[in-house]
Amino acid sequence: MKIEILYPDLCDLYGEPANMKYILSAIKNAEVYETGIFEKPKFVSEDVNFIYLGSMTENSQKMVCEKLMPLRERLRELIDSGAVILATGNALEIFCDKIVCEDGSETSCLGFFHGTARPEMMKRHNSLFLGEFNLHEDAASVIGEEGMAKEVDSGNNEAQKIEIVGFKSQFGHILPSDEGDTWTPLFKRIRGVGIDGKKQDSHMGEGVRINNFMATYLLGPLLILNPPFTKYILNLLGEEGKLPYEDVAMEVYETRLREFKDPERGFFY
Amino acid sequence: MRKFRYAAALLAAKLSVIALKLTKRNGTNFPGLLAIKICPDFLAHIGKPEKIVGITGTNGKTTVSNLLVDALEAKGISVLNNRLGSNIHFGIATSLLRGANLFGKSRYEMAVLEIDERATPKILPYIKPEYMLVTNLFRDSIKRNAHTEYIAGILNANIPKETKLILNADDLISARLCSENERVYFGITKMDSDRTESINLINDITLCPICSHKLKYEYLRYHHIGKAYCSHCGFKAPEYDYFGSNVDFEKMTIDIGDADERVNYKFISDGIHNIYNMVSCVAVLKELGIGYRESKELLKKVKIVGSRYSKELCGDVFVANQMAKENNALGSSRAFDYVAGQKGDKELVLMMNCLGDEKTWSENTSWLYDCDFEYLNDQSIKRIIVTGPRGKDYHLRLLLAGVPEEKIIWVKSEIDAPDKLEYTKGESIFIFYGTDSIALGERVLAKTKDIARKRRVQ
Repeated sequence: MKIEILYPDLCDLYGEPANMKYILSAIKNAEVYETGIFEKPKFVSEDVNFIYLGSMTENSQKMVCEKLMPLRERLRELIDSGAVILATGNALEIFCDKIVCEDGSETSCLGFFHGTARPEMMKRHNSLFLGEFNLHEDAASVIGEEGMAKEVDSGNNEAQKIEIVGFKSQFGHILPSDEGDTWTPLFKRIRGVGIDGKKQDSHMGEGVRINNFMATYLLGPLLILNPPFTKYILNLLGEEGKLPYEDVAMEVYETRLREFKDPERGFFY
Repeated sequence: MRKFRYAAALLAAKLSVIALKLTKRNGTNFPGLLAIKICPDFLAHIGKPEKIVGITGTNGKTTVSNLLVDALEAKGISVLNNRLGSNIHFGIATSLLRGANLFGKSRYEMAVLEIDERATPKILPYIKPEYMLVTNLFRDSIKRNAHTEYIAGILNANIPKETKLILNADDLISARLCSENERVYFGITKMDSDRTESINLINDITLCPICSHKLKYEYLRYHHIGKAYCSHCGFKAPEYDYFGSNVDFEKMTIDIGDADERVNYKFISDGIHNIYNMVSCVAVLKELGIGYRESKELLKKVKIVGSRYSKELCGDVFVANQMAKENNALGSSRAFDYVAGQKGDKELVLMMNCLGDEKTWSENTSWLYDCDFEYLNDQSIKRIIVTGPRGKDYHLRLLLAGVPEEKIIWVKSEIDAPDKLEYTKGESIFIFYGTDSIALGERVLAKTKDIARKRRVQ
């Protein structure tokens, strides 16, 4: 299996490199490529099964957009063919239309979903997030009951979901204009804010999903915090191995879930 | 109107100082907060000492400020400082207020002010330090500080043009601040323990600031601290004006000086980060006109504040507290590296929980994965007690760092942690706590010492 970590020399904030170390320990026979900002990505010339892009500084966002823009069509091709792509933190913004800074300067982004990121540098948003991720039936059987939350929907069908916990810490938000057309929210929002950052009067979920392309503003060690979601990604990759220290990781996950479900717990710093 | 507002703020805040003194609550920032609420530009009007030294940076600013104040006071200079209050605008306003008479005129010759990097937009428009020491810039609190580019941007926008900078040449991030300001650089020459490739998780500058190609290092000490250069465009780190050399950990000595003169100093603490603190302190003193021989004598009289690090023989074991600031991966990595490198067997208690966040929210634990817990995977560390609200997160992080499962013990309440230690004769016990958990940490420390002494008696 071919796995590409894009630009780890720039996209390494908030402990996010640990995400890949964690999931890679559960993948047999992984060929891992760490592609620096001055290197040609492996996905250009080869079919790669899994691509990861993590949080970066605002200046690095400009460099990454510049590097990926000529590769836009190839990335789209990979998304359409079902390659797993995960982007965390402000790497999400690389895939919207553009980033507009407070001084009016603009960075053109890949435009896989429509919306503009508008960072406000003296207004950092910090919050907790509790959400749900819908599962396909086949994936549900792999993850097992321990990590599942079941819910009966209005049609009396038992939907299977994974509960998601996470952190947000960011300068900007995106108000996407085309939800449902080409993409769906990655996570349903239970508490906290969605992709638009609005605390009230918003139906928006968190993140963007197009086939197996998954981008979310949730940052940090997302995969370590959410073992069921990590197992889902493993399942997408055709892997069924145990995660490192899965029992302890599940205990940490369940402790955090209980905290985040506590109605007394504040969600916005 | 402006003068009236300032006078009202001064009077109200002075009265609040008296009220706080009567109620024995001297350590709060309330007077400064009150003054700024009444008069938003209070800091512009309140009297200040003629000479002001500002100290900012991610790590070491409290230690260096304390060292400087103690050294200057030992010389007989009256130094206003904010060590009792906070390092944001309210704390600095409180300190200036306490140091001023009823008419707002300062009673001090000099001020040494520790200034939070993020608070500079609210302080530096009104206070123009003659000198500003920037100890270093690293990744810090994710919530407030985001990343080093962000903090460097804030400092660039707010440090006054007329301020002379004292910068760390071994830190390529802070060394490049405010390019138009007059400046001197300090650093430490090559040490035996240096390397050329990083072993740390955090490396906040990996690309050349001129051509964006990968930086190389003549020597690399920890994280991005070292002597960097770019083999692509020829860029290199600044030369030292003041430098430490011949670091001798056995004798606990270092030569500090410049191209013309060097004097042998005794370390105040043998952690490399504290050696940097000492070199930077000597550099500031030299800029203030105090020669090396004199600063050596002055620094002999000072020591690092006990709440940050202290070690005591209790019964058959040494018991130490080690400050490891929560949310600050770099600070904790340095503390872990230092403790792991100490001679002899050790047991640790990890309780650097961000208790402030836990009261209302839940701590963002991303920093645990920026922090080098890998240092604790060391044969000399026999047991690690993880505790407090994030104790289980520490447990998982330690496992992922390779620490064997049988060495890790989770206990829910911090105060029960000392009961889980073994107190093996000759070992050292280190209690790691952060700024949020100082009070609780001191209780855990006291209990640990108590148990250690009683075991000896038995």
